[in-house]
Amino acid sequence: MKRHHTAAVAALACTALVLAGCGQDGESDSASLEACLTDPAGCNSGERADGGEVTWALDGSWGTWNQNTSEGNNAYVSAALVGMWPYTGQFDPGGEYLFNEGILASAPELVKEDPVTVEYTLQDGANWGDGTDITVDDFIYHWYATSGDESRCEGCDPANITRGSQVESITGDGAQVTVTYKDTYHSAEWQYEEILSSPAHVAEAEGFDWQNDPADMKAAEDFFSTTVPTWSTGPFKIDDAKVGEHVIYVPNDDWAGETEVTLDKVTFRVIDGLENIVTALRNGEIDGASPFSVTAETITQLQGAEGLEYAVAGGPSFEHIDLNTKNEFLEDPVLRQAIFTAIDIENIIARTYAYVQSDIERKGNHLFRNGSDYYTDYLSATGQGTGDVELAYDLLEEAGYELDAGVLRDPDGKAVELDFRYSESKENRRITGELVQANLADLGIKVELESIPDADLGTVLGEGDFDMIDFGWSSEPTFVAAASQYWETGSGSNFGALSDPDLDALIAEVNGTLDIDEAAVRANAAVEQVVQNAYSLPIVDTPVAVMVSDRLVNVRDNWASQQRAAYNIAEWGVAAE
Amino acid sequence: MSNTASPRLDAEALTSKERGQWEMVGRRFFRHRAAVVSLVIFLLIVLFAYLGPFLWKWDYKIHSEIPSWAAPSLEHPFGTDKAGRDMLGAMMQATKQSLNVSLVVAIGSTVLGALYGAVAGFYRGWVDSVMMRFLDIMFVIPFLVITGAIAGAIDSSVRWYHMAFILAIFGWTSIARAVRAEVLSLREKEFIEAARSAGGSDWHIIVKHLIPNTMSVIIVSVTLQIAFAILSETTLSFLGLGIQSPDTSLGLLIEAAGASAFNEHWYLFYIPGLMIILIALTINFIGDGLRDAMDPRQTMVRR
Amino acid sequence: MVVFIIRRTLLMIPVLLGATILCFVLVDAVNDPVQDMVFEIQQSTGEPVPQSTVDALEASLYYDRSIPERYWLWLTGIGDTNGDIGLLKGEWGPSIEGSAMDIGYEISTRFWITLRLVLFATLASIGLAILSGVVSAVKQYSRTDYTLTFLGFLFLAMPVFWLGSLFKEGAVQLNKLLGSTIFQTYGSGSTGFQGNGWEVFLNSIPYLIVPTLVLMLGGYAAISRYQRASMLEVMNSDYVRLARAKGVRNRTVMRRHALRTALIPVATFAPLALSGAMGGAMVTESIFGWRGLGVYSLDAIRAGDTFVVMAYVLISGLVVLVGVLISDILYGVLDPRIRYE
Repeated sequence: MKRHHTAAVAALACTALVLAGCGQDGESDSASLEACLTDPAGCNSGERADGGEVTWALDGSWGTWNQNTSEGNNAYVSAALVGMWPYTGQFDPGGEYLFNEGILASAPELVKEDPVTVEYTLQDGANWGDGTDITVDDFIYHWYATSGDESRCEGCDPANITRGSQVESITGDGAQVTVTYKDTYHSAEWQYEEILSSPAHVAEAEGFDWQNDPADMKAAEDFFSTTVPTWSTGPFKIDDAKVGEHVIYVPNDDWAGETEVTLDKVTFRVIDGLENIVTALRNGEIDGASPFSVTAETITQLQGAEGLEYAVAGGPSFEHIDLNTKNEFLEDPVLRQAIFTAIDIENIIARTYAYVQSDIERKGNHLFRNGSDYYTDYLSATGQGTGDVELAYDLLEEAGYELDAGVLRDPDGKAVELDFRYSESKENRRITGELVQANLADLGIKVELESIPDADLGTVLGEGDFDMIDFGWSSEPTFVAAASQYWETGSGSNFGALSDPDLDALIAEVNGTLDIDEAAVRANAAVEQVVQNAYSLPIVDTPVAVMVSDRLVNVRDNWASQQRAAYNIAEWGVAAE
Repeated sequence: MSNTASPRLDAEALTSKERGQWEMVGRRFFRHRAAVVSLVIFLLIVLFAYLGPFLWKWDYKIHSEIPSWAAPSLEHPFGTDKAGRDMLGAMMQATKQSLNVSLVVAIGSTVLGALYGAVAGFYRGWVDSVMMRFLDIMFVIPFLVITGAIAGAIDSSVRWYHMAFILAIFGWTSIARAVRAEVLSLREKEFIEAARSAGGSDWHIIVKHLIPNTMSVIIVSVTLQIAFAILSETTLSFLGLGIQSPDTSLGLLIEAAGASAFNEHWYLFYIPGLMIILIALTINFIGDGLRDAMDPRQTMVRR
Repeated sequence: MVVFIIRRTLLMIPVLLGATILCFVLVDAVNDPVQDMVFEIQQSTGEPVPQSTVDALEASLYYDRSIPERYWLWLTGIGDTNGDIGLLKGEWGPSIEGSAMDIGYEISTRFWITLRLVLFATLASIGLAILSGVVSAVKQYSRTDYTLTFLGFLFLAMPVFWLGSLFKEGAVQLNKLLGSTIFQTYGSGSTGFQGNGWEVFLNSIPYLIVPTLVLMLGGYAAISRYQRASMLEVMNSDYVRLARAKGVRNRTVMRRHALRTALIPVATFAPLALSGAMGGAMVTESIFGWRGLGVYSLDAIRAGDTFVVMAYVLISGLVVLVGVLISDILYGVLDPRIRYE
């Protein structure tokens, strides 16, 4: 561990100079992925040689080019278009938000609180890579496309309208663009809202009168869905692409960003299946990948390979067990509390996720990662996840439950029986189920394991066809909307149908402040209330791996970004000799 | 495929008319060396799968005292996997499940196919046409696609009996064709005429006279069905469209082994693979031996 | 002959209709992809999906209609709202993958990818089968015959996915040994490669070798047994014995009389083998990452992408039926004993 320690010091000094090519001097370990444990945002950095080509594998495909639409809400298209898409910015692996240097000159400013009014200053020369500058029209186009308002975009299917439906007006004057929200908008995450998507001038050139005709607006959205975006606001532009298969980038000479791009060509290609990715990487067909799953078998493969580096860390989603409050037994909070208490989370982790990530920790908060500034552990104090069967049994006895010849009976004398569901292909969730089964058997509860075909998870959840279920939620750094989506009474994603008026009141408050720190405090209050309800038991942040050829530098994983390791594609390069 | 047995069979076929038909078949079969060796091996595999679990100390489940990824040794002859599962125990269970599937498929699809083929061949005319068009439809539908679709539709875990059912539903067509062809010629024979004039019902004639006389075709098909079932079951399981956890099968074991053929976990890949090959190989040889034994014409070929 | 072909072609229509109806009902009745899409959006945005979006999604995929209506729509396109469906109008319907996925385009490009893979494998396996079948027959009951027979049985018993995984990993090890990437393990050609047919073929050779080998070994055994039996039959026929009796040299008898006749069954079998292999290549495709028809249908089955499955059923059904028809025609042409009324 000593080595890691020195690496961390060296790397800390590096973060400030990442682009200047730190990590060259002697024994510094920040030039490897190993340092990511202690320096997530600066590991594997190094000086880049001019030129070079990189082929990066994506472990899933996409069927549209337009990320506004429900079909385009896909992590793979988001990664594949990272070189050209006008994202507002990215969280880096350390949790710090970096604004898109090719678009914004500075962080957006809150000029008025009531109604919320935000001013954006465009980067000097921010453009679409085809000779046209980014203008206020492009902001308006994105607003219309995501407004969910039939009078602006008729028959559109935006993936989410949380921001778009709240915009009152957008005005602009040269490089200054002002977005005024409605009175109902109070998101503490106003800085991070996406503001741009497709170029308005291209829509006009195609003959769509999108500003005035909602049907034309829809037609423009359809056009962008099926058209390979050859324009670019990023460090690269698309040279060749086939939907769902590959995207080939060459540098974008018109990019307004400061970072120097050294690579001549970056290819994203789809390779289905983790096993195939690792084989192709070992065979030199690709230079790296950051797939959304990792298994102990693939780690064995990677360990035996030469010229490769890999790192495993918690990824962009977390595992948790939910209980269905509609179940005749589980509607009793005492039973829920007892079940969560009897489940031994540390043992589950040791027999599943610890095989791929040795330093993995139990997750203590649904909304904030362990180690985040806002992280508070409300779980430990309750005894949930300790596997303390005696404590659990005492709780039940007090509430009138009885253990009768090894069978737990509720106060009405009914034997408690439950099912436990998990996605078929997720081995770790199956093992979790087997271990929960064993834990609850000690309590006299019979648990039946039932797997779910991979494509049917949504259906099973939506229909509430489970008693206990193990699945994953996104653990993005943004949190304001999450609490209400997971736990508010009647929310479409509150699959176990929890209904707690006190919790609803706490959730409503999260969205009532513009200050992110204050919002986090309020979100934590909601988390505490959920824990009291014994409704959802987090296990771990799902481990994921990044695997890279050791000839590359500045490539590292980023759990906080949908694009994962590709988040800093402009900085990627081939190591200087 | 002609036989691989000794040429002495020719003389045998000519001189042993007085013996019972099945006795003769049995004698011929036991002269077929490859088939007999295969039969012995196959029976050993069956014993391994069904009796083995009672004799071996580990079952197929995860045990905390089993180390992960132990190479084959006396303690764990087939090694152990990551989660701490004795692979010999797991192989017994997986072989059993795969054999269960193939035996049920063989019986189910044979009964279905033989009845279907016999009915179509017996009635001829429009019944036959309609039934044969339906066979054409089944022939055109891509097998893996449809079995996969049905397996995917099962809301809970796919168990071996689901798989057996699905494969049986789609595996009977070849038997139906073979039996129908046989019945078409049989139905003109005198003994069918006799049965009919004696007042036998259609059903009686089909079940008591026609099907027994197509036994040689049927028995050979059964062996082919077993080989077909074991290969398709393992393939579907490998593709993730077959048997699912917590159940197991040989295909799932290979899928779990991944690309370990050339690293230190090689045994996870080769052992289940060799088991599939062994089952399919022995079954094919047994089928070949049966065919030679039951079809005297083949052995009458002059050289 | 012409009447025969026309009649057989017309007979394909009801068979294909029946097959598509059966598949449609099976696939459509058990899947609800919209609900799963909505769930995935929620999971990744962390925000609720507006009802208007769900409705628009259902409408664009025609999930707002009943199964019989959907089938009728798929077939005829009568009553479509987006002009993207109706087989009779030349439209294949929308894919749940997204609107940039054009099923017709995918099917047509993937058809050639699969054909490229399967054509070489089938030709190679037929070549191998003839060779091994003839040698086996000529040296009947010799050690060579037994060895070849055993090998045939062995490959017949070997699951393709196992053989494929073994060869794929073997290719990686061989590359490592030789220190260069001769064999590629994933894909059918360099990413984004463009060129004329010949260039595409040259480009695909490193990708083609291993999967072709796998398909060839998986497919040759059945044909080889067929070839051996037919060769034996011919060798025992009267006219071959007559030729021998006349004193024609053994080699000449074999080449001119026996082999030529014994090839007829295999030649007539070839189109059938090819069309069967087109449908059966999905395991090889999925192991070696060829974006062919088989993998396309496999993914569609997993995702419940009905219209893609339908397109595959139609195309593969057509290929099989045409294969059978060509087989039958060849049989008539090559074997003078058969006549078509």
